[in-house]
Amino acid sequence: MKNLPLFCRILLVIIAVAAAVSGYVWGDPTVIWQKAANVCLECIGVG
Amino acid sequence: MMLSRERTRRLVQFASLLLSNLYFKGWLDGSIFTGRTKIFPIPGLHCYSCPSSVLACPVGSLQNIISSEGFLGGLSSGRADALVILGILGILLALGFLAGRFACGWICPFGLLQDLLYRIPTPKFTVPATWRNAKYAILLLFVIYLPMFVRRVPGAGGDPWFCKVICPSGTLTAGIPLVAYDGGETFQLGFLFSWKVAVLLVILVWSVTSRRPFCRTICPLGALWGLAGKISVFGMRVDDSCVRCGKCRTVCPVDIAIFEEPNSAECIRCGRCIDACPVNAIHHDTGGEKVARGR
Repeated sequence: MKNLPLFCRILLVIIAVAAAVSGYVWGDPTVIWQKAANVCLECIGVG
Repeated sequence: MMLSRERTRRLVQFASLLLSNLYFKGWLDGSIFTGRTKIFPIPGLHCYSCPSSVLACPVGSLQNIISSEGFLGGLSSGRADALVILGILGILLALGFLAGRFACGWICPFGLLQDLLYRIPTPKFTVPATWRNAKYAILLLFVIYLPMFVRRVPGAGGDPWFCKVICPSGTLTAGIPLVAYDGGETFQLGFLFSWKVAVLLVILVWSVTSRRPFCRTICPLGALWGLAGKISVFGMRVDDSCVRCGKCRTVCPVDIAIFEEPNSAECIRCGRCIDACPVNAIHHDTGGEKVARGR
């Protein structure tokens, strides 16, 4: 893996960016917002 | 006047802290930001319940999606709330495949805090190398396995276990301020809060005596980016001119001998080793690595 050619490394970045875009386009990012816009009781240690 | 690499890094760290915490009003009235920017994760560990935070915590977001009701079934059926995990993982892995743990060294607010705490003059101790492996177990157990499979009621949602029992950032930037503001009116404090404060105190004290102990032994983001960093586009290179003097290790915030493993999973790409090298043998590089054989 350490000797992975540069183009393969760049390809991995492209695949990850594609996953990010598709996740936000076809997924529902509101689910992140719903949690993040309310106080997370588990995070603060009372949930 | 040119800023040194270290000063530039510190400036970037503070700028990242400021830009991800633009909702100052939260500190005045005990509220948290509710704008739409919170669908995007900050590249670092920073609680989304921090009063001033305008972005989401990537680790918290991942756990909350994974622990959602019927996540696995939702993913296979293309359910929109489950599919968004691709979005968060994609952002994190894109950063990791691009430059490994760069975000740990230059962006993460909790990394900055540890850097600053280590400057307090006290006796210093090294972190045993084998302890580094704990962060991979924490990633698998507390961020993936427990949120995915442990449910109080079968079929119901689970808990974000890393946030719940470990995350010191949540306690420091959200728990303590919000509980202090609340004054015991709404939040019922119990064992869990005491446990989290104890974990936070241990990590803060440890950060005074050791370099970035949380990043090296506990942080699940560091584990993910570290693995990606071994095959990242931008890495480190050590030339044959290296004399293996060890000065790079002396200044390294994560205590690695870069001449032995240029693209170590621990490397946070801070570049301090580049500045410390007396023979200019260490460089940033794209793709592949060249390990010095010494002289």
